[in-house]
Amino acid sequence: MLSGHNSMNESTPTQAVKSRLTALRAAYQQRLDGELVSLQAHVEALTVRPDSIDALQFMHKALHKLAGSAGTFGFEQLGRRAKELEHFVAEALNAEQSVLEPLKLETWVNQLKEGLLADVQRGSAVSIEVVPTSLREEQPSIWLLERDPMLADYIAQQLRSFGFSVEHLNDAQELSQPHAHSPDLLLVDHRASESPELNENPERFWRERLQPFQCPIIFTGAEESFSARLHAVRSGGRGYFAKPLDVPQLASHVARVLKSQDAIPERVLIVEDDAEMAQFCQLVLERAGMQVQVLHHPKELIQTVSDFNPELVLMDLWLPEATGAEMVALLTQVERWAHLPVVYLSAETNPELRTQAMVMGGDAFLEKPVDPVLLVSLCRSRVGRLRELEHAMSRDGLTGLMKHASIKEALEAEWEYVRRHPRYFSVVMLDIDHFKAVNDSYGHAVGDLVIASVGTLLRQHFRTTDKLGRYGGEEFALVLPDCTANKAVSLVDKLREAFSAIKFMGDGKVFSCTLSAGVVDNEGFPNDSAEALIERADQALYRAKHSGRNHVCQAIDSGG
Amino acid sequence: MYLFLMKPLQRVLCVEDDPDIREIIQLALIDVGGLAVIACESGQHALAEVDQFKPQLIVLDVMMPGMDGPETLHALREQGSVRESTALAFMTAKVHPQELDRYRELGIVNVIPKPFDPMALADQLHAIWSQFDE
Repeated sequence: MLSGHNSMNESTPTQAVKSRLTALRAAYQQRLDGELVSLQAHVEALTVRPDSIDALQFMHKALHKLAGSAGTFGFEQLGRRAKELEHFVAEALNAEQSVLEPLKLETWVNQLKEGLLADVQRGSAVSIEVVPTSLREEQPSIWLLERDPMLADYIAQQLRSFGFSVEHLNDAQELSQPHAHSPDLLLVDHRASESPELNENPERFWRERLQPFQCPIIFTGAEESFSARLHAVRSGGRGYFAKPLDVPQLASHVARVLKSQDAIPERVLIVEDDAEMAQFCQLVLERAGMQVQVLHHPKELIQTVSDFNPELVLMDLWLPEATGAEMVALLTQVERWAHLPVVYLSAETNPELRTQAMVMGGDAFLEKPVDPVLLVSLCRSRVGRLRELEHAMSRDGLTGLMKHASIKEALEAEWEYVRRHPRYFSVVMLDIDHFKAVNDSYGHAVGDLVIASVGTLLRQHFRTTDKLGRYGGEEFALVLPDCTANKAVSLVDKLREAFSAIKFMGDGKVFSCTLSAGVVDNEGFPNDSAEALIERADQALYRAKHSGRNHVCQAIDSGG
Repeated sequence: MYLFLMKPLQRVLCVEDDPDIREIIQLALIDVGGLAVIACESGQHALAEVDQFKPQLIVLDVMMPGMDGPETLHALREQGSVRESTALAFMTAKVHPQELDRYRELGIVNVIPKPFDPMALADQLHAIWSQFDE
């Protein structure tokens, strides 16, 4: 077999290559400015004459070029957006009539510019020079306030293995010194100050010192007692961990606390034939950070709902072809959407009609004119409840990851999505090495902690848009959108390294574990079904196990 | 088994109209991959260069002004420049199953999706070559 060109070997670029890449990238970025200007000109031409085939063809070519080249130079966001827009233009060209109008042409160039800005800010120059260490935008930053330097080193190193960045402070007085960044979480030893005030009134001392920090605070201390925990709460803490610290447990708690803060935007579908009303609601909800899609024609409801997968529908009670209540009744017939929250928008004051609408499905009424504050809070709370419900139904209790059936469903959904909106995605199967030995030597409670740690680690290392599941006992499955197998291999490899660095305690002994993984993407196997991709990832995992474990393997085409 | 038949991949001819992409291809294949590469800006240019260079692998961008990838491929075949020992690949941002079927009808099974990763491109070509050789 061919040797020496295994795609898993990451070539390290030499300095010369790096600087040429950087120069090429800079030149490309300059060219982009010009292309965006000419795109804008054609957008304007199209706004005046929406049927101009020339302008459409020009846009198609230009967007196609961007979609194909931007990523190579490290402008991935821009490239992705160009690809989406190219898709719309291609459809418009095929339809031989303008279907671009509802797509807000005038925002297109801005969308591209936003993508470019995101790429530039993310410093994607780095991503073409070295393999990115993580798909996450940035690691959450923890400030560790701890007087014992050896203990601090140990905790910091362990927390870093879980994907946090850690800054160590020695004394509470360092909190008031200027810092470049603010922390996402504070981990505070409750004795960490020389100040006499701490002895006099510890609770007041900490409340005052910690008052400028908006982030969650967790206390640590030597004693495990009710009063120690109560102290922590009164000092402004979110939690208390007794020493010796069980770092995997602490990390899992920290991850949970942090995750509950950066929630994914709520997806709201507005079905409303009054364009102004729809625009108003869209604006209000988008300002509140939600993702909104507007539908003017009820006919497209089913298609739009299955494409956009909203978490709430804001429905006009009176629509041109069918009433809102009828539309809701239609939705509830499909099992998948039977629990989709629906809020009616209506000026209807007739209680009988309102009752009728509620009987046919639907959760609440919002009266026109709509109060923006009420609109946001109603949408947010309904979606929140839906999420809690789904979470409880689909999440694995030990790891907080998706359950077997849900991750398989997520893979099917991604596979279906990609057929309509082509993009890459990777599937990863991952398994803890020699797990049975852990259970046998240290007992199931410790084994569970090891499994839970993989869960924590996965959530730290991957994006919120990645689908992470516990597939079976000690087996995990991941679905990573917008990620090629090469990239996935390097990400999972980082995870593998981090996991092997974690120290577990069991039976009075310290031990560590390793994991193996198999990776596949839809790029290499475009004709594979979702099921077949899982199978391939599994085979790659099998190879990883057989090449000595603690390995990540990429699927190879064995069929020729 | 077939080791004695296997020549390592050394010479690659690329056809790509975008000058920035040509440059990054050269960087990726010559500087990073250590290959001998001719990067042509058009189908015509490729037709003129191919017989003297005798590439083992020809990589064609699909969408180009003037002669596009499939047309260039056709012309190369007409000219007798595609031998049995010449591997072929398309490079494109379009990788839907329907497109792939269309390429297959043209006798192209290797598709390099755009955007490509400049650090991994040489490996991708080596992989195509090793499969072709088998």
